[in-house]
Amino acid sequence: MKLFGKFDIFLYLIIFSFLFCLFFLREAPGDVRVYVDGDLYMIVSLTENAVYEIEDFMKIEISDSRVRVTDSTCPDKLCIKAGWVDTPGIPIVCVPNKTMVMIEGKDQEIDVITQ
Amino acid sequence: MRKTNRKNVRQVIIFAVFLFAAIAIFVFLYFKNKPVEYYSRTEYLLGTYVTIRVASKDNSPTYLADAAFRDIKRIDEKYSHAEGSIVNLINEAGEEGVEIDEETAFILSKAKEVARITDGAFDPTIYPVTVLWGFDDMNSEKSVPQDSEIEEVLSTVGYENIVFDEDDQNFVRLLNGAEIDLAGIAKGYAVDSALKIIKSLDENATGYIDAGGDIGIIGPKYGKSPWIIGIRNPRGSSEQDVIEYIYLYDGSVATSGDYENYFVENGIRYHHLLDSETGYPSRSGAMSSTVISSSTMLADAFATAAFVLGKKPGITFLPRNGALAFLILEDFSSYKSPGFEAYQSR
Repeated sequence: MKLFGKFDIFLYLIIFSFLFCLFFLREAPGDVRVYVDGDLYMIVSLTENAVYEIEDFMKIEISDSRVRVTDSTCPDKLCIKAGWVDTPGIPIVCVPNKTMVMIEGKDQEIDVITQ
Repeated sequence: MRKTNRKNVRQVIIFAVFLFAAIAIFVFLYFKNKPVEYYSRTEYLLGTYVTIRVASKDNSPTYLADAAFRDIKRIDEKYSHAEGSIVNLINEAGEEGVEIDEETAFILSKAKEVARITDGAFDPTIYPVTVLWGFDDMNSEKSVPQDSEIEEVLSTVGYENIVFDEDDQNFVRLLNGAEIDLAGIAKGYAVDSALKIIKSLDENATGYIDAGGDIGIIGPKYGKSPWIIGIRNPRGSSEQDVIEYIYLYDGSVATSGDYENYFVENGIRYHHLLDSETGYPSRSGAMSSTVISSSTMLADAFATAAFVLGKKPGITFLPRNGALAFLILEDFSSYKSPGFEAYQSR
């Protein structure tokens, strides 16, 4: 029985590539979300290396799909000490500035951190 | 010639059936495996960022999160130190005493109970010492107070100073000038209360609530898997530097660490976990303590207590109060309550 005709192969290709997309390409590359005082302040791309200023109190840096806080006016600098984060869903929190920086995404190895 | 034609038709039919079946199977698998979508929202409450991640088959997760956040907001406002708040009323009434509502009586009696069980390692009356060090306000500049100052405020500290009226459990007095703070324990309580509200609206809802590292589980991930929770490495270069994993299907976990709120003076680290005996940051040898319990409020309070106790015999009493502790000590050795390992495998 001949299942692959001359043009059937294209049909198979189209169907399989469609199904492939359906299964594997649902996860978009994560964005970085910055919240100030509970409100969404900005969304920036994780894939673009850059430094962003949040008002006049904080600077964040994005490099190699990681994010960190480089400057902050808070007294204890715990947000800076939080270091580089590349895991989606793990927030960098600055309580004095009521600011949170987090990479979007789902279904990671770690869901949440107790600290 | 006719025969071949019929054969061709049969081939086409078989081919079509196969193709159709293949597509049907793929579509079926796709929709079958497509998990319930988790809805996640974060708000600034309780002095930290609170994240609720929830999914439900029968209800809108937005609706569930809304109801939960409303309740957390209510508790946040109720147990603040703002003028006219219930905590201020209790502190101002002092020895004269004041009638309090059921909810406050419940929280305060639980706080006193944990203090009694842990022999003051957790103490809701430590607040004046916390203020003296400046750990009550993240924005304050912090420095080491004078010994005499510490001694003065330390005389008011002691959970025995919280006295409930024998005939009326909702009437409370504070002796010896003691002052209480419920903001700490209210964080855990707010998570418990919000969990209850979500469960009452939809008992099959799943997800978790994370209030700055105090985590309460709504239900297992996708209804079948545990949530994977990382315990932060207390000296890690990044907060996502995780030292151990735990797997929770239900219940709560909270961590107290010396990296959360501290300052360094003359090369010495002064953190916010104060010892009610000395009035100084606890020097128990612990860098962080994590406690698993059925209640977030108790997990939080016992985590504080376990940090202050350190690897002392007292910590062995925690499991009989439903709290399993995991301590990371300064030499990076660790202590685990018997039974803690049960939560370290899926």
